[in-house]
Amino acid sequence: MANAIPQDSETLKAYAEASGWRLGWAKFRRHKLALISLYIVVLLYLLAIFAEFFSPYDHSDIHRRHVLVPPQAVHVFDAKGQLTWPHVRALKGERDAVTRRLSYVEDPQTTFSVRLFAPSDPYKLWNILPLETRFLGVSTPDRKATIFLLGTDSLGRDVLSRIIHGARVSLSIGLVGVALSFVIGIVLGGMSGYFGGWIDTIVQRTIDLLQSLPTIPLWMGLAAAVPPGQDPLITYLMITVILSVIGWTGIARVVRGRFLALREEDFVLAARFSGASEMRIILRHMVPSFASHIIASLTLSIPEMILAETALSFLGLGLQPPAVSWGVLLKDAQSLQVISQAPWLLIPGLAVVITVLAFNFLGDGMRDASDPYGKA
Amino acid sequence: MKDLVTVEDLSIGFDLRELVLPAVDSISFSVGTGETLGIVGESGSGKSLSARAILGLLPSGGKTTGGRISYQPEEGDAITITDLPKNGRAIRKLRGAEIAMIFQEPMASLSPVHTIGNQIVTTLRQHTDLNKRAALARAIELLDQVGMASPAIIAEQYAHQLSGGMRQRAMIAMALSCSPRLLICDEPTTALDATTEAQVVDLLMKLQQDMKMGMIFISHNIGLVSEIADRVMVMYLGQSIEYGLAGHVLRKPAHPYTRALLGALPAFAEPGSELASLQGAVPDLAARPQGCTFHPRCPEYAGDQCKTRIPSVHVVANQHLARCHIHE
Amino acid sequence: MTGYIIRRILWFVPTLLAVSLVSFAIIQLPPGDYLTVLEAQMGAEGDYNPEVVARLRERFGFDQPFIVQYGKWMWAMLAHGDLGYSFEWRVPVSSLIGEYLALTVVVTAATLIATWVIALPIGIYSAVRPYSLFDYIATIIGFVGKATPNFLLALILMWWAYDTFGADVSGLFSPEYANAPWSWAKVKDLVSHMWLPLIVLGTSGAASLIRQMRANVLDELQKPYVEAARAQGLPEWRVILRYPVRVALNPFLSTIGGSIPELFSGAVTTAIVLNLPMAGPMLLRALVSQDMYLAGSFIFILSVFTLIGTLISDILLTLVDPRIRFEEA
Repeated sequence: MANAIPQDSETLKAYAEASGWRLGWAKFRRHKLALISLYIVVLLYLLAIFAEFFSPYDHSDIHRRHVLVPPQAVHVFDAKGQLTWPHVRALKGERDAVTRRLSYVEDPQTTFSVRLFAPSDPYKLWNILPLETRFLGVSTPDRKATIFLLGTDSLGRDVLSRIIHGARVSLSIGLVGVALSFVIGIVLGGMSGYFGGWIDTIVQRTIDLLQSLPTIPLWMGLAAAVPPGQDPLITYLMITVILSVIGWTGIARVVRGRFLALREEDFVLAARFSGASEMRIILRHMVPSFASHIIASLTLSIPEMILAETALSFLGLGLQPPAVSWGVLLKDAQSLQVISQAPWLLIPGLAVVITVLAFNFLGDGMRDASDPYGKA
Repeated sequence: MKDLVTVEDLSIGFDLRELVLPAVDSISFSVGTGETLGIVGESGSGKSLSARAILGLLPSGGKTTGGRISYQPEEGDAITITDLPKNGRAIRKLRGAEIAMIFQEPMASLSPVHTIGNQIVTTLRQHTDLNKRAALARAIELLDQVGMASPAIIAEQYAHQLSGGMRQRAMIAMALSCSPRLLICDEPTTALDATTEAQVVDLLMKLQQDMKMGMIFISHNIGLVSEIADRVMVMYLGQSIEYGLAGHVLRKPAHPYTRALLGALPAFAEPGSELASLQGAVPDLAARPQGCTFHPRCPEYAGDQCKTRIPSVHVVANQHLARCHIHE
Repeated sequence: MTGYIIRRILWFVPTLLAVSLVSFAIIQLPPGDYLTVLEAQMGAEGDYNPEVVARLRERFGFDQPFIVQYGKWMWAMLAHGDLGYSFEWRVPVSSLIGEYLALTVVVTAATLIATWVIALPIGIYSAVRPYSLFDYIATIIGFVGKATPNFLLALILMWWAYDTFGADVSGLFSPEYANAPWSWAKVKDLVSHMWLPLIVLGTSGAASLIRQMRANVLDELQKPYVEAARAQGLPEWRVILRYPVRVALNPFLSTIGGSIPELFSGAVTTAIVLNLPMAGPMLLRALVSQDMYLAGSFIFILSVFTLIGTLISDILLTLVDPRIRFEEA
């Protein structure tokens, strides 16, 4: 059933004049999951950008006395069961007499209040801005006061801080990889769709070939070629290039398909008959009409890049420590022994899943919203 | 003559959760053996819905909100179709076997992945005890009956390999496979060109006579209906606004809407006068006008009562009803 | 139709050549070669002998240009089925990888079948009862399944199984069968170990298949021919299975081709985590140690398998969908 069409002329006029983008946004907002996902994605990127501020510790801070600490609880009831300000309790390491395994017990008597905008050791945001406040912390400089909300790893590094720092690589590699794929894809796909003929054949066959190859072995082969021991930035760039080797094909397909469909559309023909130059036709008439669709496809290919980087780093072929990414963090949780002893080391995986889910919903919502003929 | 199907005060609505949007408003009609009822109306008038209700095939969200439909089988008591469970065994025994239907778009209504023969065989085997081979032989016979040149070859073909007219003939063969007693044709010729349309209509009329079927012929084309139907019902926005013998309705239309429809046809217009055309478009169901639903477009607008009061049904002649204030 | 299939098969040949070239180029990419690795090793152990290295370099043709090396590799492969020599294992590659590849194919094929058997009914049911509780659960599992990397799922399941059964469920064989010759008992042992890799490999594939099948069937359910089938008096389940599902299967079949590369990719990481005697762990090791012919052969053969899979699914599609069949004829 069609929605009631607004009757008064003012609304009708507003309706007619609303640009495609505004209609799209209105449509997108109705997609609740996509909207929530948008907020999550924005939040994740904020965390990544201000990682130093949001993480309670530096990602490479080593707490020798707190190795493999399980996630620490924030209590709101004190030892007597009274409701108090949220606090953490001091941890005491105890070594099992038989197995020699270290475990931690909370000392309900020694508590430390949790504070927002807590003072901390001086650090530098983006290596430039000196700061002495972190988003979350404990109130005293007492050595025993720790806040490891997601536990620590085998060197005594705070897992939460490492996840927040790892987000920088993991989240940006998706963007950079997609940007690179986009440039290759739009140039080759556009040429393929616009000119057709033998250019189209060659590009299409190449895409066919690349898409029919198993990506992980291919990426593994390429990643193994990245010389180890390089500057992490170079490795990072190499990995994005490797991911884009396959990544561009999907985008090129979409661009080509749109070009093919639009080439025959009346408004393109009309522009051509009125003597517009080819370049002008492409930029002024064709690109705007599929930009929203392309953006949606791009959004959907970001999570693929994130997953790929995670897999490669996990296998030890991507980024190497001391660089941190979610894949690098998960590499620490590779064996059953480690996981059964410290399952919290798998939490970076949760970050991956949440991010990928959010991007998928977001992309779905954008795709629906960008389809001018789709159901509202 | 006993009526095959009797529809009394049937109302159909769409359940939109917050409200039920009325789509068909208290219509009544009946069809007897060997008789043809024509239902005429623009799209959105509820003509297809009413016909589909007879087969219990309302689209999702649609439901009967009042009235009843009863069917008189060859033997035994009448069956109240509106009381049967949706898609249950009882209604399925009628579908295809006793009451068959032909749809508007033969291409879309035939399965794209089964051969024509296969589809007819499926219907046959659903309702008869024929084995595969016998059913196929019967299918070929039916294709021959509907005027296919080489029925055995057609039976092996897929819908997309046939022309529009041939597809509709295949649909007819499928519908008639179990010798139904009532055939519902929902705009069966709308998708066809004029020549093919004439051929398909001729075929339908001939088959109806041969098989003594009752027929409901739905169309937006009142001229076409006038050629086929014994009785005509004109619908507008879910209401039956005129109902009567085809001769009466066409010669002496009693409702301004029917007059306007006929006035647009060269064959019915006054010689020398201009062809009339109806102003405006059918309003949305959700924005149904107050009073007489036709008043905003009515060329014979008769003052405030049309705007405020829903007209009642008037008997304008023997077996000829119209719903308009001008007959008060 | 035959014309299309013949063209499709003919196209396979140049694709194979291209794939072999790509595989060989990839393993040539890293700076240095196996001998550089060997030199470093010898240097570390203090028995560096430049003569040995030079002799080996000549024997394997490492000093020759890329295209000559590639030509030799291809020629040996085509003429004698010789895939080259594994430096690390010191045996011909062909004697080494057979069983690993066979197990890879068995596990991926089993996964493909299992995915279909599970995903199809769920997708259909979700479409027939959209927005029901079942549909929501299937949708959630679908999205989460797609968002979880294989290796993560493998780790989680392995941990869960260890927690529940107290046993390490990795591997494809019990210890007593690992090196035993093939027997009926060993096959049974393999089957009993297969559930974990099947779940890990199948989940993401099944997730997207459910989404696709649901969307396809939902689309088809709107079409007039479904109503026409109801008007024929067919029972509802027959209407759904015979028409919309049957039509929805076609675009679905075309996804097999696309899902095979993904499956092989997933199989590689999963095998590494679960320590399965499949291509993955060996490929990783060969890549790291620059055991080039071994790595190259793995990449090449895995690619060939995917190409064959895609080819078969394309041909199947033409056989099943009458519309494609006749358009192409």
